[in-house]
This record gives sequence, structure tokens and C-alpha cells, in this order.
Amino acid sequence: MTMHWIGSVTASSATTNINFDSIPQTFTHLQFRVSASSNSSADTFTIYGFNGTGGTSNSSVHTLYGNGTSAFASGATGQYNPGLTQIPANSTSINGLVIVDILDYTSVNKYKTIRSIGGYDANGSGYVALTSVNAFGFGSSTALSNVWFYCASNFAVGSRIDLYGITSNPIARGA
Amino acid sequence: MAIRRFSTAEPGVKSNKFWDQDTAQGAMEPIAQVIARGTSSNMTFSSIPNSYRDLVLVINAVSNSTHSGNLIFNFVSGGVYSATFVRGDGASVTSSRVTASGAGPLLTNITYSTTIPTSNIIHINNYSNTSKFKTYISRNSADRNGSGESQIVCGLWQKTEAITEIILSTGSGSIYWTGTATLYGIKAGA
Repeated sequence: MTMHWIGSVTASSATTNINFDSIPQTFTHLQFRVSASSNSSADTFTIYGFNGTGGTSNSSVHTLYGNGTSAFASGATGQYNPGLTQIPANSTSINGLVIVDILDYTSVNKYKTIRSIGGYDANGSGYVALTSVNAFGFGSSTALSNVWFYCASNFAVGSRIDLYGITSNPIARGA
Repeated sequence: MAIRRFSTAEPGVKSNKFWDQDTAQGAMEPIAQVIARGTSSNMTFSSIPNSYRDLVLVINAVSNSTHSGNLIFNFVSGGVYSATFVRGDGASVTSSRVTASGAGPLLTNITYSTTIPTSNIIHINNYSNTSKFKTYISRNSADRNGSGESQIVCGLWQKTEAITEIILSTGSGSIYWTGTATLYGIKAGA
């Protein structure tokens, strides 16, 4: 099993979206590695836009999270852009860190499950979450080629997401 | 053929080295491995190259005492570490916070077992950036057939310098931490 860099997106200006389109179909799994902050106060980091389906994505989500004081578990269905975790405010020198895995993303016979672990610590505040999303509205019969990430308060300049493909081929050299 | 060796060892700790031909494929490359056998409180990775985008540290280790595990970057041990936890122990789930710590928390109160390891995967993104504090996230777990815990930790090192050394520490005392720690680098770019 080897891991290969596919592409990176860095916010050059404050933006609500970081999108990955035309994801190659040559890998077994995907991993997004996120270093990002909100352009305003700490805000939710969400995923949607499966193959550009935007608001019709209709995903379900379950999450376990803590804020340094209390721990919570929650779940929801029919989500336009389900939250994965929170990223910090841009007023500090802190980026949130999120690892998002999508296994078997090219399958055409099962729903796509997204697993995320991530959050931030800001020395007195923070948020950490383990989240699972089912791209239910996207359906089970289409390979995934577009994934979008969203922050309502805008991603701060310099926020970056790297996309990697993971293959079972030990000698593959990437896309 | 050059040897890529970036780890150091102290008594009770063995370091492995990776040859160039072992690291030729893919974006994720092993940098170094430390194997602890016997009494040791630290495992150290030094002279970490800055040629990767992110670091991933994989630990599988046991202890002879209930302890907390910590990270220390670049030998800086002042109160510049903080972390937010969420943790389940089979009976309840809690969240807690540590501030102004002398080391970066990884594990809290892992119960004694000399045979059942705690597994731990730590991600340190953008570790060589010199304008941001360093954020890491760790997930660790152990089940001991009747007790156990799973935990996610998001930690912060409040320094903007690039990370070139990582010390895995049990804090104090002479503690067995038999096991392995392997450091990987993840490249970004063709």
C-alpha cells in the first residue's frame, strides 16, 4: 500500500470553499490533510459537493466531540453540508488540523463513508471531534470525483488542504 | 549507499535506520524508528529533515506504571504546550483541557500493563512552517479485557520554529516503555 500526492489547494484570499474536482479514479482510498483556520471566529469545517451535487447531497452524520469541558455525541440526517469539526479563528497563529479519509471512493455499489478526525487547541479553548458522514444523497452507484469543503466564515488566507491517493499497488507512482 | 538515520537512542532504546532503497516509493516515507527495550523514559527523534509537508508518528508501546505520555519538540520544555481531549473509558466519555504545560500531552493515565500495548497515531501537519504555532492530533487506544480507553487529543506547541526534534516522554521516573515508535514523513508535490 502506498500513498501518493494528488494535489493541494491553498486559499490565496478569504474564501468559503476549497474544492477538489476531477479527482483521478486510479486509487483505492483518499486522504485529505487539512491545515486551516477561519477568517473570523472559530467555525465549523464542513464537507459537501459530492460530484458537484451541492445542496442535494443530503448526507447523514454522527460525531463524538469535546470542547475541553464537556463531551458530546450527536447525529443527524438530511444534512446539506455536515460539519466534521471546528477550525480556529484567524486572530492567532494557529491552524486547525483535520484528517479526512474516504475509503473505496470509486465503488459503484455502495455508499461512500467519510471519516474525519480533527480540531484545534488555542491554549484555553479548543475543539476535537471524530466524525463519520454517509454521503447518502449522493447514492451508491457512482464513483466519487468531486469533494468540496466549506467554512461559512471563510477559510483564512493560507489555509491549505492536501489530497492524497492510497493504492494497494506497492510500486505505483501516483496519478 | 547512504544511510538515512535521524534517530538517537539512550540506554534501553535501540534505533533503527532506513536505507534509501526502502524509502523510494510514494508520498509517505519512513524516516526513522526507535525500539525501546527495558527501562527508558524517553524515545527521541532528532535531526528531522524539513523536506516533508507533514509528519506521522506511530507508537505501539507498554509501560510498567500508570502514566501520562508527552511530546516535547526541539527540547523546549517550558509552559508552551496545551491540548484539548475527548476520551472514553468504556463507562463514560469526558472532555478536558491542559494549558501552559511543559510538554505536549498525548496520553493521560494509561493504566499499567506490561503486555498490552497502547497504540497511538499522531499527525503533525506543516511542521516546518515558521509563522504558525504547531498543531498535532493524536488518537490512542488500548483495551485490557475489562478496562481500557480511547482518546483523541488535539495539541498545540506555541512556537513558530520548525520542528526538528521530537521526544516521546513519560514525564518522570524510570518507566518501562517497551515498544516501537516510527516516524514517517509525508511529501506534497510531484
